[in-house]
Amino acid sequence: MEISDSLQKIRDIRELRIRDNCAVKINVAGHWYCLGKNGLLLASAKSAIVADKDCDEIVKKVCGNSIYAYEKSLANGYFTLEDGTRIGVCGHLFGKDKKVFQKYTSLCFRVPHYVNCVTDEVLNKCIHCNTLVLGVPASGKTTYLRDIAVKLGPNYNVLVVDERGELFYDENLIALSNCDVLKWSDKLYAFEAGARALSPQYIVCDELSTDDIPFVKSCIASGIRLICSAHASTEKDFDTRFGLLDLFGLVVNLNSKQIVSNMCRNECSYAKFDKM
Amino acid sequence: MINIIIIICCVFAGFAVGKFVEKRILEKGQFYQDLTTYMSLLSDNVNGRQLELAKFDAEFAPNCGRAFAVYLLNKEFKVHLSKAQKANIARFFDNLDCVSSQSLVEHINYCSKTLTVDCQNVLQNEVAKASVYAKLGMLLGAMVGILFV
Repeated sequence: MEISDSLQKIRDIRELRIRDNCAVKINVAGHWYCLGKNGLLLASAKSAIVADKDCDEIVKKVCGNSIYAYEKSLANGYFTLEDGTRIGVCGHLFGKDKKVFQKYTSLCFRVPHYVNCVTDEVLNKCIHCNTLVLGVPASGKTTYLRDIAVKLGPNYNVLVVDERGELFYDENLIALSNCDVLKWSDKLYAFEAGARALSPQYIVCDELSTDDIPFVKSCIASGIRLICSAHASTEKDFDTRFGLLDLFGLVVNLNSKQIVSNMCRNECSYAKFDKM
Repeated sequence: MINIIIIICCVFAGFAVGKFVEKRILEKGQFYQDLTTYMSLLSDNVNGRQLELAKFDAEFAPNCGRAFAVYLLNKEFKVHLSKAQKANIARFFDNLDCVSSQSLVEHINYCSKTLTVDCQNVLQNEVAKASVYAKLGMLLGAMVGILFV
């Protein structure tokens, strides 16, 4: 109750961290604060609100006392609300496969937001080649992909694979973008059935994993341009893990804020950007 | 003439009271039938569509009897139940916030055994005999009418 009352007064929340018996931390417009009764406090403030074993109650309330309805995504350590807010969970696991939470001890709320961050230069390059967006967690990969999809959608057939309901969290955004959005779909279904049924020119998907390598190769081989993101600090890290770097003509590195354009194998140019 | 009218009025009054009692018993029977249907559909929902409880209740309420719909949405009993019956029903609804679908299905199965027995008792012992009350009411009304006369 105390936490929700204090949050009412704050705008532009990006992230909220609630841990049992710890001060509530909040990221507002990219800066971290502690949550106080009357607003934001500096990180070391003693009068911050402390979550007193609230995580269990918060999860139950947010799920509408229907944890079973979010069971599949909770088994992956998160669940997503209707407004696109992703809640990462941590706690005590039990059960045969250790995929059921007996108790929740920390929560991480990631609030989606739309940012106009893709420049015309990057967008023009995206149109002609496969694009890879690299970044560490919380570097803005999903926000960047969202903007690319919104800007390509009006002029091209874009299929958005929104596995976790984060990319297009708002119905108005889907309408604005003019994209085909496969929500809560895994990449296997999207790359096979979606590509066959919807004839996309571009597929936008978030967070590649090593399991997705065959889908990426078959998608690119079929002539569909792929725009995707992956967790990696550098292009070398990505190539070591996936071995697919050569397939991407444009690499946007959100960590170093560099764009690597590799349109022809022998041609390589670097550009810097500060938008993010 | 007046005596006949008094007797007829008393018979009608007795009949009306008997019909009212019959209606309340039939409502109770309908409540329990709706409850068993709810448990069965909730179990299917947990294993299938996995709608949140609030949405599931909102979908179910318009398609069941009034008494059960009122209980579902407001947790108010509009039928007369014994303390034990109320406790069994409350125990079912108060523990729906299980940590997993498997434990929720187990809870539904466990509670359905007790609630099905309650339902059968109500249907066999009360609802089956509900039509007697109208006739009994007419008889009592006639007796009261004769006494007045």
